Amino acid sequence: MPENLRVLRRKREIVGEIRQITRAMKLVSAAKLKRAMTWRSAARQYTAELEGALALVLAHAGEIEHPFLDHDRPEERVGLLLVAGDKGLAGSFNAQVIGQAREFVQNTGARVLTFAVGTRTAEMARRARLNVVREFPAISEREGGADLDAIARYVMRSYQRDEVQRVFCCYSRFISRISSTPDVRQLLPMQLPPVPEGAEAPIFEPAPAALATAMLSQYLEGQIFDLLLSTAVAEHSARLLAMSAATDNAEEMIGDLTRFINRARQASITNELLDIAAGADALGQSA
Amino acid sequence: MGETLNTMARSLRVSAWDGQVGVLAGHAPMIELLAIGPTFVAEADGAHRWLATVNGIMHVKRDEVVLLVRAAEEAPEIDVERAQHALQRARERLAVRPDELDVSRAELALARALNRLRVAELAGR
Repeated sequence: MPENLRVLRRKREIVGEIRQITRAMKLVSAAKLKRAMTWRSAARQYTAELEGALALVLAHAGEIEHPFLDHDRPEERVGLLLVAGDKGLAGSFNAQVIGQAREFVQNTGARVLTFAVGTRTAEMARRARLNVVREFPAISEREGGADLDAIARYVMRSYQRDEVQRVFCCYSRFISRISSTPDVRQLLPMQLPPVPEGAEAPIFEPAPAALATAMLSQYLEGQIFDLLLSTAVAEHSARLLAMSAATDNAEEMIGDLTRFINRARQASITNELLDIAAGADALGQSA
Repeated sequence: MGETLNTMARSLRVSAWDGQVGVLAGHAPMIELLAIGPTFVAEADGAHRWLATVNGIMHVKRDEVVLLVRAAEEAPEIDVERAQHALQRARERLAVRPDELDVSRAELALARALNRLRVAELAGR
């Protein structure tokens, strides 16, 4: 077999192996995406209910005073909760979120302290010269609860201790399975849900002001969770897209290589036939 | 994570911020702050359910009650042995009080472990 043909066949074999891997990763992403979407819709339902209840409480609470609602603090240091994917192979997904964070840092007058969720995110953020002061493990696939608690508690504590005067979250906003966009949302001081007008007052236990205060941290936690899950869903869809494209490309490459191989084989057969014919001719002439 | 229980109930009893509160059908709309404690649900078909719930609120609507809690576990899912370990660990930590101890967190762990054990007991496990 000519050298060229052997090289082409080996190449096709390798591309075939890669295709198997990317196809498997595509299937895994699809399964993870489905699960993340189920979580997200459950979380959305929870935050929507909570928001409805909080709005009702606020409608009857009058003015409430709480550090989480104090929009007048001088802004010296800003916390940025940075959420990206904790694995690669999702196209430019992580780079886009980090890029958004960098832009945020450049446009903010105050010093920005970054709280990164996920080891990989933290690493990429450091490389992008973001000031990473705290690193959380990525929220785990199975049990989000405890991880979320730790993140929410830390965010609230650094705000309450005045280590930061504002907290934002840089995450990926999931739009559809083929589209998501990096985004920055303010977490603290909190933006409250719009208050319904003329809503009939239910019984409140305790009084609305105390109830509202008690609900604020639960509401903030819900918001953080929503952003984490939005990013998780966006990450899995980005990976699904990337792996789908990689599989398609591998298939196309295998097609091309197969054509080259056939052509090379045909050429070598033709050459051999010409050799034989020429040899036979030579023999015939000499006879 | 997500919805733990979705059922037709005749009545329920929750651990509110200031003690036990019972809700029957036709209860006036109400929003109530909850504590860590057992939640009891009497289902329409006569079955009883016990849940260990953590904080959050109860929203009683016209024909629906929504419990929005930080955590909820049904009695059969409670790992009694694990809860006992957690209880012991929390007690030890609170007794020794190492410098870096986050007291409110340790107290929360203690309350959660006690709650789990109590719910398991109430459910007759």
